[in-house]
Amino acid sequence: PHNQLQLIPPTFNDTLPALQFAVYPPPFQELPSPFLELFDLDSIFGSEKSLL
Amino acid sequence: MSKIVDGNYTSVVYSLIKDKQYNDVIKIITNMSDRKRNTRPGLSLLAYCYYYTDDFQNASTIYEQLAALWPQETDYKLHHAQSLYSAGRYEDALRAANGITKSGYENQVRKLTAAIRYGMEDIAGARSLLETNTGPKDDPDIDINYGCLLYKEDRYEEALQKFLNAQTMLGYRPHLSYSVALCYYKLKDYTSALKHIGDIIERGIREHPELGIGMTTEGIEVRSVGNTLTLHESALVEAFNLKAAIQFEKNDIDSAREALTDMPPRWEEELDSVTLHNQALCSMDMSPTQGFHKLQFLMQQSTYPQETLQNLLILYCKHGYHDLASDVISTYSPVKDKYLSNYIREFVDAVIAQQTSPDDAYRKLDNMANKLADSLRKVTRSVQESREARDDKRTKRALLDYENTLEKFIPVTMAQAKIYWDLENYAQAETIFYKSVEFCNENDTWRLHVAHVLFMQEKFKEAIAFYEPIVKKNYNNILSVNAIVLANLCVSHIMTAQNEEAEELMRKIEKEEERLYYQEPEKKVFHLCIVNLVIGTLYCSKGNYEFGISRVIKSLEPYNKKLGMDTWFYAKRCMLSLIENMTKHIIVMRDSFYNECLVFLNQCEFHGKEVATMPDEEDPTNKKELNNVTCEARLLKSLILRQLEY
Repeated sequence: PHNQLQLIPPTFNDTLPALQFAVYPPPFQELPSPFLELFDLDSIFGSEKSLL
Repeated sequence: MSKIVDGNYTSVVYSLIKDKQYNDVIKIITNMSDRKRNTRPGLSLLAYCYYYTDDFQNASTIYEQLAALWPQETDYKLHHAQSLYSAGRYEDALRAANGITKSGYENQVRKLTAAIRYGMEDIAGARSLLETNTGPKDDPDIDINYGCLLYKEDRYEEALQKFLNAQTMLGYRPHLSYSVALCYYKLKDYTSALKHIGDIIERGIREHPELGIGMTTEGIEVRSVGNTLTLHESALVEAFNLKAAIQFEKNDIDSAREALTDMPPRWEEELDSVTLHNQALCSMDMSPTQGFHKLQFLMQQSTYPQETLQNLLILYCKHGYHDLASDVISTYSPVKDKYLSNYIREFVDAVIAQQTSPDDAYRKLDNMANKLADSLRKVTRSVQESREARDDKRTKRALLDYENTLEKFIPVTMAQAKIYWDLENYAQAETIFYKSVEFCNENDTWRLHVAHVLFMQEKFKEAIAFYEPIVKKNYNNILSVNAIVLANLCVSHIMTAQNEEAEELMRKIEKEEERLYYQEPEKKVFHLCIVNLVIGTLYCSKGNYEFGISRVIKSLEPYNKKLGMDTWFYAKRCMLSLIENMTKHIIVMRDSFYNECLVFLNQCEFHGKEVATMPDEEDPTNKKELNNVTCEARLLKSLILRQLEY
């Protein structure tokens, strides 16, 4: 048995649920970032000689 | 870096910090001997610099050390908890925050705990902390935080109002503008959303030229700007991701991709999970393997964007990886996939079932369709009622609700129709479509497929009514219409004795293709080729081989451009049908016609050496050398010659 030549069937496009891009949620107000402490670094980081 | 001269430590280190060269400071301090490093100044500055380079993991370790060494300094404990929170280690952060009992810190601890609860998606917990707040009443932070909670409860309009309030009080703040844009996005007001995103980007470009915004898109190689607090505070990563999301929803994938490359450049290993996730979605059509790698990588992390699992499943279905989809569904339930909606789970379940039992799949889909149709009817009533009550806000909300439900309904009804389509039961597919006409009548995808099922049943007049509006809508940009739509419309016109309409459409396509050729000679277009193939096939199928084959021949000219796997497939179908009917002596053709066919096949033989006739992976015979157009054209030629009793 043979198939009679048929019309070219169009493709049925699978419509899947749409992809969802990720987005950041709105940012909650947190605490301010840590503050900078002030030190005299030379008295700590300097060489032995200078500390003496 | 050159060695620091004695006596210059204070000035050098603090200048570096002022210039935001935190990594240099980290290097200086970590290279010191333990005796110097493990001092209060050493550790404090180190922790500070880690925090400001977004390295919260290391910041938390050092602040923990500081808190242990100087227990009377409650700020260290607070910073420790804060760093854990910023690193996303919510449980640890809660423990650390709860350990702070010193009086005077209640408000700060409560504020931080609320933020942690919010991060953990514990909306009720965050709300109750917010309500016991004892700070100043006109604090705009309170509006912002209530806005965040309302957002999480999908109450976008109210959330938007809170954010706008805070904006009036505070003036421009990047993150606040982002929150406003986000609400507009959820309310599908893309114009307003893009306006606020535009503000963030414009400010970013002006105030932070060092962040290299847009440079990558321009093709300029820029080194990573790193994850700094500056980048974080600019809200640029958030804004560009949202912009990409909006462009994607507007169906403009190129702009979505561009939004992601416009973002300040970072190395791939520095990317946050949201950006990585969105990059994966953008790369799916160009390099799916890379996209899958990224999504699979994300799924193995302890946290990932809540959309990841759902997208991965949908993409597995799309690419036919049903086994992987079902593996993932069973592996990731039920703890990890708390974000997976019932809708997606049921849908994927049905698609998987379709591989083994179409009946089963159909039942599952039918259940879903009925439930969704009920919701759609309910929402329709609500739209009507709120319209009658002249309640604009409620109407808007109901319409949005309708749109969102319809977006879920369409894939379900399409999947149902597809089951019958695959069985070539077009009449039943048509019935499925008509069951949903009350909801889907305005939807282009739906209308296109209704046209297809009508066409396949040779209901040409009805098919025209569905194809034609799609073509008319894009008449000025006709090559943007899918070629098969144009072809089927032409066929439908011919079959309803409207040949002139068909000819006019074809002239239009030809003109557009010529114009495009002058503009972009390298660009391949197959529209007219496909139209001719479909019409040629139609005539052959009706027994008019002389006209049909001449169309097919014309469709493949010039051969070096139009001969391809698909076009050859349809051309050869017609040839074979001709040969079959000749063999059975159903038809007899003029000699000159045979000659035309032989000339055509000679051309295909000549141009077809490199044109494969089946995809590599589908070749079970392993006789690759035979699967090209040249071989098959020779075969067809020999069949015709035998007919002619040579």
